[in-house]
Amino acid sequence: MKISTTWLQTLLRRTMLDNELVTALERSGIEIEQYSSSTPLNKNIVVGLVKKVIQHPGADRLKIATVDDGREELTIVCGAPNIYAGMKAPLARIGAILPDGMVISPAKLRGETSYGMLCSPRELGLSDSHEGLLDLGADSEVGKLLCDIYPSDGFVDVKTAANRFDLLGAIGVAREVAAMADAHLVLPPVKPLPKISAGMIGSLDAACPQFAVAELTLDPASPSPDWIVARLAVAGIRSLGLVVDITNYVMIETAQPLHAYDADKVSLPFGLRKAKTGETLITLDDQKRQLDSTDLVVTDATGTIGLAGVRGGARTEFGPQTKRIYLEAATFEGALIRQTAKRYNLRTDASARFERGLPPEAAVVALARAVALLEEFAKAELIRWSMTPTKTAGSRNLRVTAAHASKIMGIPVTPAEIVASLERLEIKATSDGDEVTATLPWWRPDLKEAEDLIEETVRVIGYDKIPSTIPAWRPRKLTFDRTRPALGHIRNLLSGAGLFEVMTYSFVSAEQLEASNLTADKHLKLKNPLSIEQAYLRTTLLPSHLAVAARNRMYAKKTAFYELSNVFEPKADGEQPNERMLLSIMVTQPKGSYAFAKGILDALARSLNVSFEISAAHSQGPWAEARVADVILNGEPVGRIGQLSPSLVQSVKLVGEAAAFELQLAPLLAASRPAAVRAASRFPEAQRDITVLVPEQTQWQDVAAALAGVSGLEATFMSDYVNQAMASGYKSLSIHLRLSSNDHTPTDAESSELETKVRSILQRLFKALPEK
Amino acid sequence: MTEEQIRLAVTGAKSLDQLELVRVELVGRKGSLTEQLRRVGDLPAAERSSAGAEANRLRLAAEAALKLRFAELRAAATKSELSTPLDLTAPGVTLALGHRHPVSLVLDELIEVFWQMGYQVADGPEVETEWHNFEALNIPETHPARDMQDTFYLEGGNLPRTHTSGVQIRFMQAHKDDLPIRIVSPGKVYRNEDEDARHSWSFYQIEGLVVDEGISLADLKGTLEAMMVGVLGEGTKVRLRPNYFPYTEPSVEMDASCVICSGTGVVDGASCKLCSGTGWLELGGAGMVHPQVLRNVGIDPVRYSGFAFGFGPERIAAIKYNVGDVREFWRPNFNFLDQF
Repeated sequence: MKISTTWLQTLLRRTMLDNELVTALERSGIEIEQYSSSTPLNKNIVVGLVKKVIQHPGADRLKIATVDDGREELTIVCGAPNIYAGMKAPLARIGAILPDGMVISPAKLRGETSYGMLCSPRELGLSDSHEGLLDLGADSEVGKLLCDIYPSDGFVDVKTAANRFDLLGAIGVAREVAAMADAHLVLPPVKPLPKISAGMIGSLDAACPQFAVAELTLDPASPSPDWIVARLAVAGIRSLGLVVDITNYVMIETAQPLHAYDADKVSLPFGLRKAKTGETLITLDDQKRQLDSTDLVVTDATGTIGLAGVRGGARTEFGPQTKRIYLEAATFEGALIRQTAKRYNLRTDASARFERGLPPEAAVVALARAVALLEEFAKAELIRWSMTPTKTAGSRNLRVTAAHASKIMGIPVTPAEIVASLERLEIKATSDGDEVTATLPWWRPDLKEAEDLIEETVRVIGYDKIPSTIPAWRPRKLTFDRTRPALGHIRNLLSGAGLFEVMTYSFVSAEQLEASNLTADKHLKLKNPLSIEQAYLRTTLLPSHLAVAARNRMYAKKTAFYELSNVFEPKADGEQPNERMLLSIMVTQPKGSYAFAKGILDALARSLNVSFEISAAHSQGPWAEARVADVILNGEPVGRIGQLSPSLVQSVKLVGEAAAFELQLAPLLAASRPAAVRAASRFPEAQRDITVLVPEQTQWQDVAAALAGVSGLEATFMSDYVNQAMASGYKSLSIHLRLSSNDHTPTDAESSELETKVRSILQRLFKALPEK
Repeated sequence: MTEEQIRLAVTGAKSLDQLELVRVELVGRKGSLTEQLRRVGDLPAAERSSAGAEANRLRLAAEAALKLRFAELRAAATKSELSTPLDLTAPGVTLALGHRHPVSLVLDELIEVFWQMGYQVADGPEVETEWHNFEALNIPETHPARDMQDTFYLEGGNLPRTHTSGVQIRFMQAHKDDLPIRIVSPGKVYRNEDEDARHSWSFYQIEGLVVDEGISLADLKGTLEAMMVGVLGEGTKVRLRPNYFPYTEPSVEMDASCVICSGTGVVDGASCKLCSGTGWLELGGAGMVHPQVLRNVGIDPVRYSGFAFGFGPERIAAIKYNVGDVREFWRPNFNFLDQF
């Protein structure tokens, strides 16, 4: 909400500098989104009378004017197209400083000296208009200071807490300033309304705690006073005629919205009820609205005349000729207004205030203020008025002990200090011993607990007065975090191995899922996504990572990256999903992507001292046929590894291959053990490389398992390949053999014996071809 | 072969390669001195002893000369190698190092700080119930504060959490008979709001909670000050301003002194860009746990009190690494990420 600082000033007994105002607002906790100070126009800018205009001899577009500034006649060179003899326009004399900082001094323009400058509205910071000089009109007094004609208005744009309706009004904001700066609030004068009349209000729904209405006659031709127009303009509200301006003005002042009806179009009494199903209403914006049974509607004797708190109806709209109005000030249940405003996408300055739940008293205060302004400026006469009888919340009391306040604040505070602080905020309070009793004013429905009074006390005392202490820590038991260091270890391992860590959004599109051969319906779906790009909660990181690979395809021929993130497996409707943290890595490179991905998996296994079993799986989702396997840990599948489907990879314009693995972290971390270290033998080991022809479907994992039983042997994979010279259906497998002993250096004979043993195992168990 | 001939042959070698040839020629498996020694066995018995001794003497002499010459030549070779100019300033071999994500690095650093302050890290689900995300935190359905945090909702119920405060609720419920509590909960949160350079709809949050007897605002202030020194460095100051959150009372906004201008608002005579010349950085919110929240989880607010705070690791990372747009963190671009 933007409020003019001069407006705030009129509500305070003591004149404050703008920066004092800002400090007070900050101390009170009102967030300032924007602030513009009021700097009056320089006193060397006056009303000038253009007496004579002649063409500049050296420039077609320039003119030479003789201007009377009230003291003397000055020669001014001017390029404005709208200058004419007899015009009254702002003149910046020599020495004047314009709002943008420009200092006026004698200046030669194409050989002619100008002793000052005639100004456009933009040059004076009054508007964006720069088409010509500001024409001040014939009535302006020559030589009068511009700052007296255009008093500049600073403003503060404040964001107010959701629990404080009162801060959506200038009075509420001024009350806070008064409390923080000891400046005293001055309320605008209001004449109390007379006794209420009967017959104006019929039945009201319980969701309407207060409905007040006044009948007035007025002069529809009365103009809005300039200061009202100016203050509304600061608030971003256009002047729309005196009655609307006054309802808006009172809303910005008191936070209570008002609505005016053409009295000739309303058949009393007013009523308020929930809309009926199927009911329609044409609102002021000429939209036909299909109403919902939770909408509150205002009615007259003949039907529905408005969407309560949100938008009036077209039927009872008053116009420029309306001479008799009903002015309504009502309060409604905030949540209902919020729903209705949201439903019709009609959130307005008024609905925002109703949503916060206005107290019933606000309505009568605002109505009285509006009546007073209409009487003053619209020659209005109050015919009669009415309100909901005895519907006020009444005064409430709240208690707090100084002992409790001291305990919460961490400094000793006396009952007298609490009373004094509350009274600065116009909250009446008394103390009895240690206990303070506050009588809550109607404009503070947000105060509900003793802690609320403590907060008010602290705000007035100031957070800078609170000391700093570190709380003692005497836990019943200490808990150690084993997970996060392990995650850090994995991250450092992968980043050390050359992988980028990435973070990607948890929500993906149906298109992305379907491109990866995943079914969107098997994912949790957002009811209200920001866009269809982010509508589903992912169950795998692979679709997101394909997008990462695609986006970075120009970065390098070979890329590798990883992410640790939760995924969401739906359970039954309404149940929270099964959330698991996954580690997902992806590599892209021209060829051999799987081997790199597998190398990272192997490194991870070594580093965490776990052993994975790789078990070929059926291709599902984004994986390539016959290039995907389950990763098994201690007999349980914990993830998948494989190459991604080439058509999928090509569809995102990636050149080459992509491979990935995705693992559940919890079982991995649970299985991780410290490295099992064997004492190294003091004796050198013997090494041999052998190559055998084995059936091409032979898996190294099985070979390694079979050779693991040979004592003293460590067998490592070197390579496998197929070429046409080999027997069909066979591949060449090269294995590196290392033989070691704890008590001697293995002899040649022992090495040969070992090699024979290995070959025979390979022949027996894997049908390796005998050596030729 | 005489000793002199051997000496000449050895010193005649002008490089380590030539010397190796000489060595093979003299004492290799088929070298002349090796042959000579081998032939001793073919001699008549009477000559063997003296011939053997002579052959051995020559071989030892050769080996000694070879060793000496080897040392000379290697020293010369080393000297000549080092005398070839090497540009010591040229870049070394480029290592294919990977990169940690800046936000992940900052999260680790934050957790280190909290560990040192005695905080335990608590986790909880990212998809929360409305009760844990709102009701338990004193934000009933009709509360206007529901609009403060624009929320995504899931079809079929529940919601991607809008803050990690649900973790605090769960932790308090689980440990209400096991007080005191001192935790932080880092994690991803989601807000249904349009993005800009300062806001992303998906981001990390780290929230802290302390519940014990006698916890006061002064404790909160001291903790926030210590925490910010830990996070932003020695000399960091903290300022509290009043604010409103439904789940804390009193509630405050936490500002830390600007790390660029040290709180002066001025850098090189101009207004500091990071803090817009205010000298302060708005970093997060905090407050004393609302008594209703304590009641909601079954903790007696008369006996116990607590404080909570929360802030954004992305914001810290943006400040620390001078990143102008937080969306960079969520749009993996290797040209951006390879700087970390």
